[in-house]
Amino acid sequence: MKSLFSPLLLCLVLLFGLVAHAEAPTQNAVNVTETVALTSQQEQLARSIAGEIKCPVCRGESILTSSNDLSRQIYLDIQTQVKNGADRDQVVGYMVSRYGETILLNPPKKGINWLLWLAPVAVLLLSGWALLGYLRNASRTPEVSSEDLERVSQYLQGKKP
Amino acid sequence: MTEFLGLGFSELGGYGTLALLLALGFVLYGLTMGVLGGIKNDPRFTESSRRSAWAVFLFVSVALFVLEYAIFKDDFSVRYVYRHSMTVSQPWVKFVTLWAALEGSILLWAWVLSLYTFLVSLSVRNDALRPWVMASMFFSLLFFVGINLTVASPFTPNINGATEGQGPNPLLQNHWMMAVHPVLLYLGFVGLSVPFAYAVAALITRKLGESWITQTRSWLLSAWMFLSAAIVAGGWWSYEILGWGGYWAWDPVENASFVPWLLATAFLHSIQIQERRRMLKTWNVYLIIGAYATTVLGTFLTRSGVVESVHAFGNGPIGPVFFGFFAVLMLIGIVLASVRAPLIRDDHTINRPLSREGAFLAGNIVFLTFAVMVVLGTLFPVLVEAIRNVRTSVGPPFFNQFAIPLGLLLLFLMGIGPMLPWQRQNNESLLKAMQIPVGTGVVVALMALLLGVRDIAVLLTLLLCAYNIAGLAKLTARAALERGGLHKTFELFQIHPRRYGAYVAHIGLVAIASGIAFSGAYKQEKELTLRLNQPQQVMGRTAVLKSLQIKDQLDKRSVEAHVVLDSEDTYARLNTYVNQPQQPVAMPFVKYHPLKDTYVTLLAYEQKENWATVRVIETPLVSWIWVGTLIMVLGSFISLQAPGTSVQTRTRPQEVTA
Repeated sequence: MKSLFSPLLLCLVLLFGLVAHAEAPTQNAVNVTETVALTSQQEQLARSIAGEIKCPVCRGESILTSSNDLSRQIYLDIQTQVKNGADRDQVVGYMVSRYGETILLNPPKKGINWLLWLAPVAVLLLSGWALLGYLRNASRTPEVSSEDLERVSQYLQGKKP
Repeated sequence: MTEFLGLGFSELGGYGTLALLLALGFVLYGLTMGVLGGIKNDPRFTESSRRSAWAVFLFVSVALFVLEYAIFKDDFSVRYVYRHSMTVSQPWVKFVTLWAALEGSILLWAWVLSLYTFLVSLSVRNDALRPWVMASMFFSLLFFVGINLTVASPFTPNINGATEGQGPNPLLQNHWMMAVHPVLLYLGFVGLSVPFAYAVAALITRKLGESWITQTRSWLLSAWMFLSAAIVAGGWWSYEILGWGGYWAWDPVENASFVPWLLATAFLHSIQIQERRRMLKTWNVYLIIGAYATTVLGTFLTRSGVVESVHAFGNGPIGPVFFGFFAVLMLIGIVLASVRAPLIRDDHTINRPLSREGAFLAGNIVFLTFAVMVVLGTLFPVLVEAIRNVRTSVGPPFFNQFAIPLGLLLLFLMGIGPMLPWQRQNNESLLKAMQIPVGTGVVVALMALLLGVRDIAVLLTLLLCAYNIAGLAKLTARAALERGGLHKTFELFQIHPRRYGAYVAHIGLVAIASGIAFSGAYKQEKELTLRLNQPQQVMGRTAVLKSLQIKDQLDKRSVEAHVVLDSEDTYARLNTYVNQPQQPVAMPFVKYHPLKDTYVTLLAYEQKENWATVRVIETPLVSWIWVGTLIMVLGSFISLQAPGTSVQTRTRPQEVTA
């Protein structure tokens, strides 16, 4: 499957396919059923790449988990490329150049996306730091020097309105 | 006048609207009386407020009944019935159609809320909190009954005189779980409104001690139990229906139910610190406000179409309205809590960080981070679109990268918590206490390594699961031996239902964690096209297509492929519903086994040429997730048996947790 018709065209084909089938009494869940024979290593690579490629007509689903013809077409495409010896970066790069960055389910670590990647880490670290501070403040050590007591009471008074 | 109510167009719709209007009247009355009762400190107003809760429950029930009746009567003069139901549906599908779309599900929400308000009115203690608790419940009701009368009215008449409806979404009419999952979810979501109401009452009356917490303990635990069950039931539904062999996809609506669960779980643990040690009063208030508000935020996210999801019932004014309510809830919470915060002083202090309090607090932080991560991941595409005008996708790979380490961290803390007594723990005895659990964990992980498990996340999960179980077993055995032998274990459950219920819930979670780890790492799948009676090899098994049958029913055409895998019969189906012929739904066939599920989906077929394309999936330990959830629910149920209303005695300094 080296066909390079644009995604728009693919969508149109899919859409007309659906419309045509709407009249038929029985219908298949998918119409793309061919597969590319791969070694188990290649298969693994193809699957792991497909798990990170978004199904263009779904909501946040990978082409691996969604069952529609467009996803399966893209998956076939990935399989073919893997069979022809492309590595992960090449396949992903191809997908991005063809469909744009929205095709990636795993937002690339650059630009504004850093916010997404760093915020959870920052929350964990900041709240962990706050917890340590709280615990240090709240825990009493058995022996407290009068100096420390003074400092603590000053600190507490400083905190009160 | 009657025409204004819609009676001129739709009789049933008119009755429904009338019932809701009466309910609204009593909501407003109850709210006013509650507030007056609180301000004037006059029990007569409070009593009035309490009783109007009964009327609200009655009238919302009438409205619910009217809608259900209209669906069963196929009264297409009601727009909701016209749009979401059809005459040929099976009775149970008609029954669940009540909540299969937006307006009906909000009516169900309002009904559950009125039910809770009714139950609260019966059980709320006669103290200073009472009027404000009632008022807060009525405040939530005002919103839900209000939108059911305006932007989300299920009783809007349909004037096109149709004799057949458009029918429900095909995905929602082929599994009985549709009857269970949404109801459980609303019982959980709405259940959080009760602790929220108590928290608001406590803030207003400045009675932020332990009383409001002990009073809401059973409410919280029940809501948490329903919410946990609902989330997993939703996962089970996807597993049984969606045909890809998975159960969780980090879909916005799944996330929307998960965030309140995370916050409620954090709350469930941190209130114990307040009960025992009179600490963290403000923190607990923020947590429960956050948990309740995120149930509303989730509804906004999934109903507004802002973050598109398979569950988005379509756009409309609902989204902004929900967002407004979310904003109001958060605002009330934050303003009240910050006005009161300076007045709140924690009585006690922590003696040592390395105590159960410390472990619970660390757990709280991980839960909070988890919740922030999920909210951010769900909202990020919207944020980026607003700033850069391009869409980004945040999908399962992103969520998993954070969820796995955070989950492991939680498993680790979950094992430590019960091993540590309240208050103090010197390092030496912790090390000693942890010897058996950690040792067991390491041994189990090494055994798994020898058996060929190479996935690091799975190995760590196994280690932590074994360590949790060994820890709990050790604690239970020691306590039983102290009572005179292992046969006394059952007695322990009767004497300390809270503690041992929690242990059982933890064991359920361990089972869930192992299920998630194994099914995530070792799922195998293969697609193959089978010709009739011609065996083929698939994943080491022999697959034969025995027959292809087409069954025509009133509401659907169902194609069934009988595939035999070795000696196991499977019957995968493909359903095409008459109202959505262009959207066939594959009904996977699942053969449950304790160690490995076999899952067959029919993808394509041709009866004349006698072939069928099926996807065969084998996933290990998936059933452990469902069984683990049952154990977890059982644990919460045991915990609920504790006398909830009695105020906890203050912790004795030397209390030793067995």
